[in-house]
Amino acid sequence: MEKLRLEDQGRVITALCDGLGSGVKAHILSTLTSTIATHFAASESNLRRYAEIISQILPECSERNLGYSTFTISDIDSSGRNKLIEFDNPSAILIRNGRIERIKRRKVSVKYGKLGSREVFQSVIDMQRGDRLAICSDGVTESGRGEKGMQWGWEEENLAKFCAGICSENKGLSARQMAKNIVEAAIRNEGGKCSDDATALVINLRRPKKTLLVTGPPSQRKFDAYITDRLKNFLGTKIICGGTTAKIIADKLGRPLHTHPANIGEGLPPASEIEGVDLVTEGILTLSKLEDMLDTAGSGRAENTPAGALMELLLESDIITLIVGTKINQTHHNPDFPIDVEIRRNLARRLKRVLEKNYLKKVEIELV
Amino acid sequence: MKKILVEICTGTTCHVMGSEAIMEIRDMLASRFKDIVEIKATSCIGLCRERNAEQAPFVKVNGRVVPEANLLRVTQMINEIERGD
Repeated sequence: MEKLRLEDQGRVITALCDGLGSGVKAHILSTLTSTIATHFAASESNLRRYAEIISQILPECSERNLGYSTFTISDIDSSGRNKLIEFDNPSAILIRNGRIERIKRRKVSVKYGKLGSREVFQSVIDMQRGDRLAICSDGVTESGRGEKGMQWGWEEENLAKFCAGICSENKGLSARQMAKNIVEAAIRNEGGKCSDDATALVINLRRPKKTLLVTGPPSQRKFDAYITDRLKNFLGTKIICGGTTAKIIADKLGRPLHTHPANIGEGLPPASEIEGVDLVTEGILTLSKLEDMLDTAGSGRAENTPAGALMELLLESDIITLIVGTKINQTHHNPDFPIDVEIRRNLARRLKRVLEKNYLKKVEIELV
Repeated sequence: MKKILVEICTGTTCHVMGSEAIMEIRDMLASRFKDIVEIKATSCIGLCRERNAEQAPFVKVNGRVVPEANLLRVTQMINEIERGD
């Protein structure tokens, strides 16, 4: 799976590919295909030409003498116009108002290496707000094959019904949650263990969700009121990372600050609570842990820690503002302190980078 | 019997210096304390930043500061307060 955001053109291009074979071979084939395909799509090259190029340059599997990977490419612009190209993956599923919407496809034949002429489906979908487009690998549609009542696996039709079902059940279902639900259902079909890679990519058109994260005390006392006002008047999810920061804001707001003792024993300081703030955590250790989690896991299961809760909130948002206090905490830079802690603003910069690059979020940093 | 409030700082410094282990005091107190001692986690109480304060982790027992706190020192402080010292 590959994602690419072209900021200047307002386009987001994603590709889901499934390589022949399993393990490293399949991984190389699918990664190569998805990377090349998204960049070709970005440059608006001719589909016939690039499918041909991809098929010719993929390394061949020594057993099968063939290099092959499926691909589905979605190229969506800011008006919601989605140019979809599908090759050998299960058909993409469009859900509008909780119902399955038919996609008009045009068949094109392309030359695909040794396999000769193959069919590729092209379509242009004018996506509307609230629409969800689900693209899956065959590991999803074929999950449960041979199990009771599923001779041919889950099949596209049942998957589409499932998608429509979860969308009408939960109107606010995010793309991430929906993709997770699909893969979890596929794993259930298989009795808890997948025999083939099951991948789901979901595109949801919505107004951007905004989040404000305040971390660290400001460089000067006089900015305390400023950060409090920003947080108080913000429309969206509000997060505070930092004990001192939380105290400053709680005092200014005149609201009590409660710390949960129940969550102790997880290696991270516990979360706290201020009325009107969605999440209050400790600062530097939690943010460092968050960075690790963003770097490695991504789609993995969220940990039940303050850092896990923080990651969940950030990944559910689209535009994230980090207000970073630049006051240096002397105790952290004391030679007696057992660990080296990062300077907050470096950490904020790295978080911005990983959130933008790996998760296509828009992140702004404001230093106070 | 008067209540005794134990506040364990869970700020970054105290956490790194081992305040998490002090939470176990819940299970280690003598049974006569079970109903009178209340244990609370707090966010940073700011003592780690004071130049002449001693080392973290810090625990407050009825407002009295226990520096370099560990299970033993906190238990001693609770005993002292119970005796009315």
